Amino acid sequence: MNELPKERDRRSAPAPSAGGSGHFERQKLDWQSQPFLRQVLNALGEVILVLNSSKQIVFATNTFLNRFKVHDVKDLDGRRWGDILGCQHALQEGGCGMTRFCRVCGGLKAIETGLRKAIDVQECRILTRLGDALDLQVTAVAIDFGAEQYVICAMLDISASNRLRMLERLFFHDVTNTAIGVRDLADMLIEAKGEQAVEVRGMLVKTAATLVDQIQNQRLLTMAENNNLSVSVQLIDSLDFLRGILAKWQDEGEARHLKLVVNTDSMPVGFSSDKTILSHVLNSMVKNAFDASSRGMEIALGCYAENQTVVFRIRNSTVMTEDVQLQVFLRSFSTRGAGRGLGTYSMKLLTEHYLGGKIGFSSGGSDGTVFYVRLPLSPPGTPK
Amino acid sequence: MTSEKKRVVIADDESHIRYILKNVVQKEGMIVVGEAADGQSALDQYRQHKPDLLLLDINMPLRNGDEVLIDVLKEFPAARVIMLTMVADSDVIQRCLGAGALSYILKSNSTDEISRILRDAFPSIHLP
Repeated sequence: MNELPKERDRRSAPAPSAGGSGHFERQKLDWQSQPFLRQVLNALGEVILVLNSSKQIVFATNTFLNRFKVHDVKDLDGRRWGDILGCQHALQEGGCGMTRFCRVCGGLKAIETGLRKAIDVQECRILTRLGDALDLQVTAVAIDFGAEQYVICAMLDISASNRLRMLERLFFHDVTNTAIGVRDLADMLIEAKGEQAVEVRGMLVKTAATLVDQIQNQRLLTMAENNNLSVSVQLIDSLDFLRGILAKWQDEGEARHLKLVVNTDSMPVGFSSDKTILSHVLNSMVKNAFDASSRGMEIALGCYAENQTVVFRIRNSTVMTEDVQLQVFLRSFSTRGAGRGLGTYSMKLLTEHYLGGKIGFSSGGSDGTVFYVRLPLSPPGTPK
Repeated sequence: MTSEKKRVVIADDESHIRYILKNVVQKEGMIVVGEAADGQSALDQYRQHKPDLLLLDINMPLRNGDEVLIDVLKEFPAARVIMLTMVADSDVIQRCLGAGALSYILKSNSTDEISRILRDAFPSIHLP
């Protein structure tokens, strides 16, 4: 199961209550004065919140408090659920429920439907401020209590089942797919002669390498998530490294009729980092650029020195829709349907937690989409 | 019966799958007139070549095969489309068959089995 945020940042301001703080206090007291109701909800043993119409928490079950390590219920006062779960967007302007990212939040959709007196169940993906990925199934039900309207919000942590689904997809779908290719190409090689034999052999070598990559990428991600990944720092020349990435994708680019280039203003920057992890990040970026590009388009790779950092950029011509942009980097999100890629999530996890860098993107206008990785010239903690 | 070779477009984002299928298609006396590595290119290739048969992977970048199938059949109601799939896509494949796909090829099928499915797509051809 995914580790929950170990310490939460309490800097976010309490959400405003529709009727002022006195109104909120009265609502809280209303719930505190109903021991039977509290006992019933606690007896369910589930992660449950009761929210008022301003989506502030007025009651949380003991299971919730334990699960999210809330030691003092006063810490919940005036807070919304994203604050307590540690959602990375809850600190932004407006707070939980008010940012542009909240538009695609499944939890918020469920709560809002609940406030309209209907029952709703939604999946909610949260990336916490500490970089943990939480997948929740949120069930929201409206309840009238006294003269007030509330939403009972039950949360089921489905991170583990989503991870299993993803693993099944990767191993029983993608890896099987590639392994079947290796088998069929090996069969073809038995009968192939002359030029065709050379061609089949080349394809076989490439497909076998893809198979190994797929297995190693999954292993890398599993180790990273379990905090078992060790970083092995080596000296790297950014331009040589980028050319190596380009060489790996050149054939695939030709097969897909895509133009793959290294920007001419790219600079050779000497820096120290983990080659295996950085390769994974940049290869995932290029793969995503491939998947976003149509025949004839260009994918441009670049690297530059900037303020004592090295920056890698991968650009493609396609602009991402706003909904996609809002969900980039979430663990279980993929443009290729449920249970598909882990690309952007693993890029962020590896860059920010293991390489000590930052990752980001811009998408829009004539620039298309640019993903970038910014790395220190030496990772934190290493001698300069 | 026509003696002209049947023309085929193959759409799959994996280059080794396209390569293997191309080989099987050619062995069956058909010719590959176009290849596509994403859903949008698959539709473009179909429009450009109007092939006798489209081999269409379900899970592809830009647009999935099930979406492309609908568009192809809307524009070309007589199109012959065989879906390419893994067992894990069984729900989608049922939907594709319901929407008008001729048949499907499991990627785990042997090349002999794929050959048989290709021949079945053109029942009037009597191979030696």
